[in-house]
Amino acid sequence: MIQYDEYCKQLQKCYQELRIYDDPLCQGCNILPDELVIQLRIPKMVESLCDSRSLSNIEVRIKYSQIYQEPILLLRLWEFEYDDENDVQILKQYFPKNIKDFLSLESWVQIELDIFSNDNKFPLRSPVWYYIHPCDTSAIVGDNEEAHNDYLSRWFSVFLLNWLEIVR
Amino acid sequence: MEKVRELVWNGALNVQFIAKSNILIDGIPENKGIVNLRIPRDTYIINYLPLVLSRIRNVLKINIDDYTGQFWFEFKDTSIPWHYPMGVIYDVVEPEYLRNSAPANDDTTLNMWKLHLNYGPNIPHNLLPLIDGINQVEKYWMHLWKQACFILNGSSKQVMSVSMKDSQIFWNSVLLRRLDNFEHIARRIVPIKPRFVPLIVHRGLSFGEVNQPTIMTHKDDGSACKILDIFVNLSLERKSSDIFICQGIQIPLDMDLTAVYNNFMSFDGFLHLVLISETHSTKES
Repeated sequence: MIQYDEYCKQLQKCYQELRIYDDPLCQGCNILPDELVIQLRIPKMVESLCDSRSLSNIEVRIKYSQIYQEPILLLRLWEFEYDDENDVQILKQYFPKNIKDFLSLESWVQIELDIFSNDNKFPLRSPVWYYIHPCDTSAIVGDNEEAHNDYLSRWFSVFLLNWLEIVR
Repeated sequence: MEKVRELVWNGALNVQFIAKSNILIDGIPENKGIVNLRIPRDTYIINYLPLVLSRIRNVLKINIDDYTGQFWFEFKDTSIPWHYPMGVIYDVVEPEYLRNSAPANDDTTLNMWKLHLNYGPNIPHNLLPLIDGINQVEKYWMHLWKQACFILNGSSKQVMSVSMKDSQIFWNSVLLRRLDNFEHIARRIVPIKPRFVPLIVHRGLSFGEVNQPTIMTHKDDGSACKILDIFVNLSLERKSSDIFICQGIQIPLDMDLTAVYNNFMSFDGFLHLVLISETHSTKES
């Protein structure tokens, strides 16, 4: 577990030190006081599972869960769709039948769809996200007092960076 | 408490599902696409989608055994979410029935909630799409119980240690309306004296406007938190006309939060309160 203030502090540190914005898959990275939003290119491994779909990008969002007092990782997939009526290409969310296989996520990952209704900053945007269930985070990341300063760095490593290594 | 739990569990709504004309076979009159059901308040409306579809399958344009789009429900042209208990959605969109309760108590009238059934290749952006059918509904419900358990106990262990068999009995208790089975397992998760209560506050007449405050059952001075204290917790200015509705009942503001939770907890482990204020009511009129 990590307290909110400590999470915010470590988030800024991780942003500077992990330099996710330099990752070849990263299209854009937006840091807020308590959130990190990353736009990722579709990794090769995922692209190979797309069939004829034209995927655009993966949107990843890291935010703080007040309930679990843990960082949580949200993500969603965007695909291009041609709107014949208006003769334009639009972006829409894509929900594969089995998201875990589709993204080649590790077996311990519990991923579900949920609504994040409190996100009133952009009311016209979809509040639907996949999220990785955080209830075992402390056990997965390791939570002893001496290593607490690096809690979020370890979390990034387990929840995001390892996955990027696998799928790139 | 058992009596109240029984009344809450058995609370039901008369719902009229009306298939939108665009999903009916051309030439079929609208009344052939109507299904009337009495549905428990404390369940997900989506659990009744297969039953509704099976009743009108012969008049639908869509083959219900093989479709790739999404069905959803609408109330007055607004798509309604399935991921909250049905009674909560009703209390959010139709709170006026409490202010004008005479018709509901009149033996000669019947309250009927009219919902439209719609279908399209893409679900409205504010709704949770069903990718994995009814399995996904069960998983979602269990995820809420994990959250509720974490709030109540500081850990999800009590839910995680429910066996596969009991977990199935638990979900079936919701589908088959077996209160005894539900309470038997729920009471293993809900402690007698929780420090925090899993609470979701919905704003009347405003979909998606919800707060999930972290609220302790007791204040620092040891006194019990009341429903009234939610205003302070949410930094809301209380107006004299503000009321809280839970399970279709107006809750006295001086009731202890723990007592309200123990009596009115929903089947997802949360206490859902709908805050109705005068501004919300006048917005509608």
